[in-house]
Amino acid sequence: MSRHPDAGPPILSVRGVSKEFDAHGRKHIAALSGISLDVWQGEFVTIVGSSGCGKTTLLRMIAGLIRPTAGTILMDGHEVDDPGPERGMVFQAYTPFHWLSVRRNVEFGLRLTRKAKGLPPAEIARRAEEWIAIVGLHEFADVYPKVLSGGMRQRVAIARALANDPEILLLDEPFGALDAQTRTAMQELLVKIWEDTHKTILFVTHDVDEAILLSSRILVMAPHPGRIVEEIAVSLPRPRTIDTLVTPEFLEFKRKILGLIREFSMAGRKCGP
Amino acid sequence: MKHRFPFLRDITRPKEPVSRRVALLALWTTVASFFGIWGLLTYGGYVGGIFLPKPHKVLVELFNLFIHEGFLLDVWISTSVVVTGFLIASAAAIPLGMLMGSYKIVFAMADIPVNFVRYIPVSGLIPLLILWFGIDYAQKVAVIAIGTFFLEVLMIADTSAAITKEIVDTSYTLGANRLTVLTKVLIPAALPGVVDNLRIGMSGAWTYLVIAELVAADHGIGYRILNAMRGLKVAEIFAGLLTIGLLGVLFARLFKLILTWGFPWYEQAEAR
Repeated sequence: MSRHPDAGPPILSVRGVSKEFDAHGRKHIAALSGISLDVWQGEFVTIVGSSGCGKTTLLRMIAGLIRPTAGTILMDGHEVDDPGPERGMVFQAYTPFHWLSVRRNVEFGLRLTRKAKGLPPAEIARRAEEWIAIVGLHEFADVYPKVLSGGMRQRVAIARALANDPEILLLDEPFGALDAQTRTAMQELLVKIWEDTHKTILFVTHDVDEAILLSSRILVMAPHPGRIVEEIAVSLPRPRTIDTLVTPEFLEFKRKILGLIREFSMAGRKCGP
Repeated sequence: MKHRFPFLRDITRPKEPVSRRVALLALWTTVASFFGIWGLLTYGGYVGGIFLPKPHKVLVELFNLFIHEGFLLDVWISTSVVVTGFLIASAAAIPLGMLMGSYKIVFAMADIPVNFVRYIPVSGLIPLLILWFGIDYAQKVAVIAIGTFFLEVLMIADTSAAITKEIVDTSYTLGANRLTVLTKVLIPAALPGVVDNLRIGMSGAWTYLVIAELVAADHGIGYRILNAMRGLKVAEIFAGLLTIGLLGVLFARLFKLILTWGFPWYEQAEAR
């Protein structure tokens, strides 16, 4: 079911990336060390690891929001230097623009880039309408974000990012602030969107269930310093639903990943600060 | 369990909303208590009329001022001075405050200097301003503009700084650049908060007006108050203060209306 990763060049390629931070005047703290990874067109790749392993930092570097200390990040063969609309991103924090209606939020990126892309207004409206319907916000298209629940706000953020038609969608724990029921519904929505569109997605989470349910491939990260310790192809059949969570194959993946995370967080504690 | 006084139980619970009717009742309770205590002290003969005039005398004086003494002209002059000073202050404070809150480099340039000047009392600047602008209109506008500017600029900087980095970062990943992030995100996001800052700036402007008019003036509400003091016309002092208070309520309402009608998407805090 998952795309074979050897077909052609990857659209995203991270090569030997490291990141150091200044921590309150002390010596440089290595947040990430020697990260290399590739993402191919149409993949759903998840980076999973305990908090503090630097996975969000890695995603922000790929988005171009911060720069690596060493190494290069290539998007379609071009070095990433700044953020750009071909790398859409959804954050854990709620980010709908509260001064715009749901519709205007979803149209935001298209309106910004319409001259460069030569999009007629009717096409912008049509695409926004389509994505609002996909995320199930049709009845709320013309309300302001202040009346929306947390889950609905994340639906707006996802629709807004996807309506802009990015080449890759970066998701930084987008469901981390949601309650369990809403999170499950959002995961099912995202699985369905990916199965329907095969949009390339790079997803970051500390939730192992979420990682297995969604991904075609999982990269496990360990902390101190942040690094990738294992790559796992998730061969579970699709379509996947909430019932997938109780199959023996699923539990086998879960056992393996949890074991890795535990092993490396213990090792990290021994030599950590 | 049934409470003996359900009404008392409801209104004494922190952060619990009250109905519009209860809110109005609460307002009238305050107003009635104010006039009640005032009336008790004066009509009851506890405080002499030389210190505290009887309420009806203030109302008579207010009527007299407006009808026979051309007080409306003073109100008009004071209001125009306040509004002019306020507009000049805001025209400078809005852009500088927004830049300070959005760009760390502008903040680094302006933060300490602004705080330095802000701590100099405006009243201390008045002799200098008289030297520079004379004692007329321009001097009073300058006092208000300077005082209000320094009051507003740091509030507006805070309002702009409160826009989260995630909102800004999101707009970059949607294709915004340095210019469009300012025009399409930072400015619209900050605007209603800025209007609320201006509301507080306006109340400051009235304070500075009275300071300016107490020092040197031949018109205006502040001048009238000072003049009444010289003649020990206590009722007139109270009439002047009452007028300023009522104008304050009017302006506060105006800003609330701008917020409600101009920014329907804004989540207004209840108790402000």
